Amino acid sequence: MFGYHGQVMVVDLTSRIVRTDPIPQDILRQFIGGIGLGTYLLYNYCPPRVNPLGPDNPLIFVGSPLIGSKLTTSSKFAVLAKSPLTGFIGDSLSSSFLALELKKTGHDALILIGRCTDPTLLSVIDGRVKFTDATDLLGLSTSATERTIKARLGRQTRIACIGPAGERLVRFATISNDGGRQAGRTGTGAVMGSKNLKAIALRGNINLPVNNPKKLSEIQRTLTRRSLGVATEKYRSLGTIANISVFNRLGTLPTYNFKQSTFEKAEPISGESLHSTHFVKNAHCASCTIGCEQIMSTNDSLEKSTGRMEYESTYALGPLLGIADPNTVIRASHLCDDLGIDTISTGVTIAWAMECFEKGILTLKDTNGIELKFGNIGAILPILNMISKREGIGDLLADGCLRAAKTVGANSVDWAMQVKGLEMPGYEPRSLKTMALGLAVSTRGACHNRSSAYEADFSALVDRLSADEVKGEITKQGEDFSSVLDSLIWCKFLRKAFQDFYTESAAIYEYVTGFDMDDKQLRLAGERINNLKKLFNIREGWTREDDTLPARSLQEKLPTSIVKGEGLLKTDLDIMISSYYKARGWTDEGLIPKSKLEELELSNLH
Amino acid sequence: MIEILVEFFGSARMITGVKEVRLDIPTHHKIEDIVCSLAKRFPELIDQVIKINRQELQESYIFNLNGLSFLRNDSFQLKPDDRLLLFSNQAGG
Repeated sequence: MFGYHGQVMVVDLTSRIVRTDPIPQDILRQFIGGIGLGTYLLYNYCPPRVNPLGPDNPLIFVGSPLIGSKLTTSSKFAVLAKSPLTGFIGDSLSSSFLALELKKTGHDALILIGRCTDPTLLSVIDGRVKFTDATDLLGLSTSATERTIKARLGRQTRIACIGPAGERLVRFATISNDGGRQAGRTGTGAVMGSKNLKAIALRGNINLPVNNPKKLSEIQRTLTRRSLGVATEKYRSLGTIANISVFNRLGTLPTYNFKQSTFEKAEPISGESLHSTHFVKNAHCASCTIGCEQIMSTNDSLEKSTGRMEYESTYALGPLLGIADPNTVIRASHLCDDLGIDTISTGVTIAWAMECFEKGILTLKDTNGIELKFGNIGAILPILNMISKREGIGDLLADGCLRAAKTVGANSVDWAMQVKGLEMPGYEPRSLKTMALGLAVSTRGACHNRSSAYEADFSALVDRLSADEVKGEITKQGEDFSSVLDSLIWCKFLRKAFQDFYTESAAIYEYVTGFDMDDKQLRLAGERINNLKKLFNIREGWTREDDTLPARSLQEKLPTSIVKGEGLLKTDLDIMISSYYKARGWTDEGLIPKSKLEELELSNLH
Repeated sequence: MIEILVEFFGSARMITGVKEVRLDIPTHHKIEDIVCSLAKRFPELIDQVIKINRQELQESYIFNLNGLSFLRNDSFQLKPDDRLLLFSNQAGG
């Protein structure tokens, strides 16, 4: 085969039995790879209604047909499981050398089921599967874990691991690889921890040919050239932290736990300022020519902290907490990576706790003496450590803001800023109405990446302040586009380097795999993948009531700047949601009719 | 002529070293008049932010009017003291 191995490795961690399951060619073509193929595998390998932290929840690492092709940004992989935060589909992407080694194992995916009896390092090296006691790795940070294992198994071995947070089943724990890259969202690190699996080490020697190397080489050169041009200029020059100053100016920067959408102290943590005061160098993933990563370093008298900085971490650990000190934000972001916790969920959950403290619902007694006030830079690092160890109030926060709010009560769920249990990214829904819809209907909870709906709001295509029915079709198109990106897998930052995304991507898919594909079929694959994600959620108990936004977003108006007075009524959100269901061809209850399942060749799964 | 204010973000700010600039533009104007005026004032923006024809922004840049609406074509009329925000349209993060 070209591009695919046509098989997955299934490792039962309980019995230590390893088997290979074939994947039919029509399934590969229908679901492509990455998130798409991962969704198909999750649907089939995850029994309905399992405990996300129980042994039956599969943890799935999926490659893609483009890995190893040398196409720019193609070294990416997906991680899927039923999410311990949402109880729905949990899917996350990460990138770099681990993707290359995953593919070189000779399998399109690695599916882990069951549970190890003791802390374990699972290695798949040159076709040999080995279980090694990992007790000595317990408590190590993600970076120390990776360093230690590489010292033992060789530098070319690539590691996916959890930190202390994953070991303690923090529900927003990440899986870390290649020097701090994270499969960050939806808590797959907790699933890995629940399996007593500290790390996975991969090294392979199987390289796949591509179907049309000459054509592929031509388009590879073209894409590389475009990736170095204006289409990626922002990512190469300032990275995503450039968003801080723009979002602040437009009134879309969530601040003080979404109480407002502008931050009066944003200047020192803006991308422009950070670049001039803390920038060290650009870095990039394996096979990437963009190099969006901005490596930043602290510059105060405390121990130096150096690592990559991007918008979401800066938003969640800065403005959202009322913190404007760049050194604290940089240090907190890197500590999250080392502890293995998602910066977005972490920041949003702490912001919820800060508001509880402000209102007297949580007191010094509850917080172990920590003044958990907005803007208190001294509170952040101790709280991060407590979350990762589930110590004191950290145990409450380690379950995410929704569960914490339900435990604490006192209407605090009203300011738990999440959708379906997943904490919100840095896009204010009241001043970005397409994004509001995208956040509400996303299958994995409050997610900006699975719809990219913000893109319409930051363009002349729509009125970003208007909650209207136009938003439904736009959000549907954005989700389908994102699913194709996430399944081939391209980096989202390459998306504007295509002149005709679907036509060019379909051609590339053919050059790699030899399977027939055109733009229409690729669009249909994107729609099919989103419908299967929804089918998974329906099976897990989803109802229309789950597609909503937090009470704050629907009941309070924004208090500052050019968007002062902007709000979003529940009735208006419902109109947008109905328009989205209609665009999808779903019922007004958000269910998928049989005819749609047949159209998408999904009826045999239902 | 009317006077407007252009705010720079991201690379435009890094390249020029300024956050905002006042510009005089013709009373009856098009986007190309604004871009041309910017190119004259800040030739260092040409290529990365402004196309070499000095009349258009690069596809990856966009003007926003007063923080609210995005300018798509010439169907707009600026008033004195209007603020144009210039930033990348690559919004993701």
